Order: sequence, then structure tokens, then C-alpha cells
Amino acid sequence: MTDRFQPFRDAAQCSFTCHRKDLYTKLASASFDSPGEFSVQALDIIREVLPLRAASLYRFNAASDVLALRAQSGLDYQTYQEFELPLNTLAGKAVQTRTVHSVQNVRSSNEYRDTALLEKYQLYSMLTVPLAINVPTQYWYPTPLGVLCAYPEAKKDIAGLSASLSEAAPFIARLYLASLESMKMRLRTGLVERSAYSTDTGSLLHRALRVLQDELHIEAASVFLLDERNDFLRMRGVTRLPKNIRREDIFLMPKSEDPTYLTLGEGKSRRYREPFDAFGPNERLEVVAGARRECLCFPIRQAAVAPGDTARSIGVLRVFNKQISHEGRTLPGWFSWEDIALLDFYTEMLAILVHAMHRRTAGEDDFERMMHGAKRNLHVAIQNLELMESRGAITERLPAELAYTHSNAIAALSDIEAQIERQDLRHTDDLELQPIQLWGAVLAKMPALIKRGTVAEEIPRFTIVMNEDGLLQRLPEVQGNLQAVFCIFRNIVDNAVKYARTDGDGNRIEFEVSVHKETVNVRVTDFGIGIPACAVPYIFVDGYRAPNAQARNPSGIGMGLADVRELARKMGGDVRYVDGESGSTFEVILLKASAARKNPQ
Amino acid sequence: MICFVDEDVSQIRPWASELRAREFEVAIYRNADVGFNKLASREQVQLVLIDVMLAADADEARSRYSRVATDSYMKTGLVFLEDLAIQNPKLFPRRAALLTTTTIPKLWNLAQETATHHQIPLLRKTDFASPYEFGNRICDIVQSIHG
Repeated sequence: MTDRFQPFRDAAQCSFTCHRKDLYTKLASASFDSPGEFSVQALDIIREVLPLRAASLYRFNAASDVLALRAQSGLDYQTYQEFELPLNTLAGKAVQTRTVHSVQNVRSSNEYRDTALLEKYQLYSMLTVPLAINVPTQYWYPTPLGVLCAYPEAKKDIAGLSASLSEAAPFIARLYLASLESMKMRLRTGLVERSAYSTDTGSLLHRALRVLQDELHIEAASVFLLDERNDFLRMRGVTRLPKNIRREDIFLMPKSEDPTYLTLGEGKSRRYREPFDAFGPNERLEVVAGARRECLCFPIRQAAVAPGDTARSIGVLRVFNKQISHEGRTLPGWFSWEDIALLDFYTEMLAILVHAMHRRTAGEDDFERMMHGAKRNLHVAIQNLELMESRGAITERLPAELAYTHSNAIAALSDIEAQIERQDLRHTDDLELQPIQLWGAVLAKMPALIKRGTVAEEIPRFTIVMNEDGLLQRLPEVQGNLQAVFCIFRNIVDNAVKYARTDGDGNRIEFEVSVHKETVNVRVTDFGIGIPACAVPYIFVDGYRAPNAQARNPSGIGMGLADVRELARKMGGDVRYVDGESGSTFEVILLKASAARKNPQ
Repeated sequence: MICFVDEDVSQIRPWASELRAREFEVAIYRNADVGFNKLASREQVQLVLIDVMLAADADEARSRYSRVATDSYMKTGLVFLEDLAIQNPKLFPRRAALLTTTTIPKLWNLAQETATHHQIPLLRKTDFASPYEFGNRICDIVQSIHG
């Protein structure tokens, strides 16, 4: 396996023979600290140390045999992507011969293309220095990497400069490669840090694409993952979609001739330049500021592969438009071999993180599916039992001593359903809130729940006391989640039944509703075993059960009051314990719908 | 007549029974394709209750509702409703209501958007503690449609 840090070690070795230790130190720092800007910084540093009026750096595009401008210092070309040099130029000679060339009077040379530049910046002589090394890496790179064009200050010793730059050239080339390794470390760090805050694949990919934009200056990108059950690509992350286009509209890409899908099938990266008709209508593509110039598609390959298997493609990374920074401006550029090497690495990292996220969420998904199934089955069972009860099918046929069994069954199943629902609601981040008719939707149902509980628990009947009907039916609407509000009251009355006195007929439960400026408060008082003073500070703590309650050894896990308080607070209200003479009193405080409208949270 | 278009027969049977006890004629169609065949050209119906995560014909080649269009059958009911609205605008979407047990926020939001857009009710199955409560709600809906 290639040592990724070999270029750094080679550069360090080279430095021992380099006379210009200051040049070495500064270049090495730039390569490590600012790898994305190494090309520009390297030229600035070289001009600082050596007597150069200006300098430019070209990278060699072996596929098209041209030199493309990568950075410049002391000069200012307006557009990078258009400035390409063929090999029959002074700079091109350095590529062909792999040796340094010096030209005393460049203005008289007919191999120099841009004479206006010479005039503008008062340039007289020139050195072209190939940046070449032979270092094994995991990715392909051209030889030479590129050419450094140096313009000495007037009347300076060209021969001396030529020797200095010849000595420094392999070192600069090694640092150029080393800067790629630094970029990979930055990409890796950025991805891992951001994945730590991601809760699902979607948020992971959204954050990952930000890393791509910030570090590699890619203008727009998206990630598609393969939905293997259904054999289509699903867009899971994108930098920005056009307005009025919902992700769902281009969510699904079935098998087709779209280049994105072809990349998946072939497992090889693809490059496209204008036109982009094969990708479909522009409005279904990632937004870019100006024209769409270049697109790269990379297959995302499976991270975990069983021995003997070949990694298959699980998705596609699609990127549009490379951007280059120069003198505070952002200019359009073309993707280079360095960009491709870094994007290949990026997709490898992405595959690993997606795999890790899938493993993490798979367990959660399985549990959620199981709970969904359990809730469904409970609901079916309860509905069927309720129907039988309402038709009198049970009471007519069961002997008296078994008459309780039906209610028991419904109570037990309802209890499970309530516990699951309470847990679900408690762990829901955004409860859906709406105006609720507290009396009709919730309080009016409490007597039936209490009655069922007393039959199931075989305790003496409760007397239920409520405010006079007129007040209850005139109650203002409260703002809340209907299921959550029902859960809160259900829990409180369930506790009242669970901890009721089992001797005599003194069981009573009182509901006292009061309307305040912004809230509707409901005090629920039972006259059961009560809560000892020493336990009161802890009753809203997860899992706590008061000593006298523990003695009853009831069902449940002691989560109820913690859940109901959290639910109430999520809705802007609260649940409090109120000290009383006997039994227990809980006050449920709910925001009025009118108050919630005035102060939306 | 009140129609259920829902493959979960065991879940809706108590409700169907309750509605029959209230003297409604009730039909249950087990998937979107059967529902479409029965309702696309129907002249009269009181209410159609459509499950959001509805099944389609097991033979995809034969079904009107593909995996892609329904997002892997997550929103078949919503696609089915739109289909009915096009094929039978005299009755739909006005005489429809959506039913769901979903806890997936994205799907719930989509169902809500659809219900709001068409001004039809969206009913969460687990909101009904008993078939009696369900029957009351359905009667309210039928009354609001037919007066």
C-alpha cells in the first residue's frame, strides 16, 4: 500500500540539499497549512525569496496535450479557463524536453504568445522550469506535473536563478503532490466532524456536500443512492434545487440513459461539457450562478465488501463547475486531474460514512417497524373487543364471575397502547399542535377510562366530580397535540386508579377546571394512597416510584409522570404537583389557543 | 354506500360493522386497482375512505400504480385519489377522506397537504378509541358532504 505521506518525506529529504532553507520552510508550511491554495502561495513565496518580477504556474493536461494556467503572481489574467498553452510554446518546450529553459530577451521570441503581457508588466527575460518527479501514488498524475514560468527582475543574474529554480523544482513538485495529501486529510476531517452531528443519511449527505463546496470549490453537487429493492436512484442530498422544484419531483431516477444512471451501471467516472441535454431539463438540475460548463459523475462504491466479492456501485456523486479563487475573485475553471483524484477520495470516504450511518439507523428502523406493527395489532384487538362490548355480545354470554375478563382485556391492551404512544410522543421532536376542544375531545372521555380501570383492577367504584357542565362546555380551546393531551390526562387518571384505596367506598376523583388569562388549568385530585412528602421532589424523575407506590408493585416502569410533564412542556404548558391534605393533586396547565396565536413559538 | 379502499381488512372490519349497524351499505376494496375499477365510473357514493399507504395489484405489469409513481407504495392512496379525481370529477375528490396510521413525518405532511388542497378530511386511525367513535365521525363527514 502506498504511503500517503511519502511525498512529504521525499520533500524533507530534498530540503537537506536545498540551499534556500527559508524557501523550503515556507513552501512546506504552505503545502501543509493551505493545501487548497498551494499553487498561488508557492508562487508568492518564490517571488519573496528570489528576485522575480512575476511568475505563473501551469499544470500539464496530458489528455489534451496543453498547459492550463493554474496560478499567477505579479500578473493578472482575467479568465483562467481560457488560457491554455499548446506545447509549441516556450512553456511547452519545458514539458517536451523536461529541462529548464532560459530566454534572455523574451520579447524577440516568436514562441511567446502574449506579448501584450510582457509590455504591461515590463517583463524582459523568462525561465521555464518543468515540475517533474517520479513518486508512486494511489492515483494517476501527469509527468511533468506542470511548468513554472518565472520572470526575473530586470538585469538580474539569469544563470543563478536558473540553478536555484532547477534545484527547487523537484522539491516544489513533491510539495505539490503532498498538498493533495493535505487536502485529503482536510476532506476526511471535515466529513468525519460533520457526520458526528448527523442523525440520518439525508442530513449526513447535506453536510458532506457543504464540505465539498467549501474545500474543493465545487459550485454545485448532488448525491444519488441506489434503492436496491426498486432498482432506481434516489436523490438524497443536493446543494440547491431550483425554486418551485420539489425534491420529490426528481427524487426518483429510474433506469435510463441519463449519464448519472450510466455512471452507476458502469462503475466508472464520467466527464461532460456543454451541452447537457442528456441530463434532462435544466430546471431539474442543481442550481449554478451562471452557465453550466462542466459536470463530473463519480460512482460511489460499496464500502464493506465480503471476501471474494467485487465492490458494486451504490450511488453516484454528481458535481457541476469548478471555481478558482484569484485576487479575491471567484472565476470559473475546469476540473483538473487533482480535482478528480480528490473527488475519487471523497467518494470513498462518503461510501464509508453512508455505510456506517446505515448500520446505525438499521437497528432503529427495525425497532420502529416492530413498534408500528405492535401498535397496529393492539389497535385491531381493542377495536374488535370494543365492538363486541358495545353490542352486548359479551355480557349476554359470559357467566357473571367472568364478566370482568372482557374489560380486563381491553384495559390491559389499552394500557400497552398508551405506554407506546406516550413514548413515541415523548421522543417526537416537533409535536403537531392544533386547537383542541378540551372538554369534548379529552375530559368527557375520562369517566369511561376511570370506570374501565376500576373494573379491571377490581377496586371500589369511583365517584367522579367535575365542574358544572355549563362551564366545561364553554371552555376556550387549548393549543396542543390531541394525542399528547389525552396521554397526559390518561396517565393521571390511570395513576389515580392504580393507587386508589382498595377498602371501602371512599374513592373519589375530582376535576376542577379554571380559566386564566393565557391558560386553562385542570386540577385532578384523587383520594388514594397519596405521595409521601419525602418523595415529592422526585416524582417527575424518569423511573422514580414513591416508596408506598412501590409497595403496590403495579404494572408500568415508573415513566409516566416524567413523560407527561415533558409532553406538556413541549406544548408550552406544564404539569405540577399540588400539595394537599390527602391523596394527590396534579395540575395540568395548557396554553389557550388564542394565547398561542398571539405568541407563536 | 360507504367504501373502504384499504388492504388491512382486519383493522377496518369492526368499523365496517359499526357502519352497517348504523344502516349504511358498506363495501371494502382491498387495493387501489380494485378500487379504481369499482369507483372510476360509479354514479353515486356517499363516502370513500382511502388508506394512504394502500396496496396495489401484486402484478406490477397489470397495475395502474407503479412503484416509482407511488414511491414504493408509500403514497398509493394519494396517487389513487388524484386518479379518481381525474376519472370521476363528479364525485371526487369531494366524496373522499384519507385514512392513515403513519408516523412518518414526511408522509404525514404529504397526506395533510393533499387533504388540505382537496379540502377533504384526513383521519388518523389510532385517534378512534372505539368503532362507536369512528361511526360518529363518519356520520359527521357524510352529513357535511350531503347536508
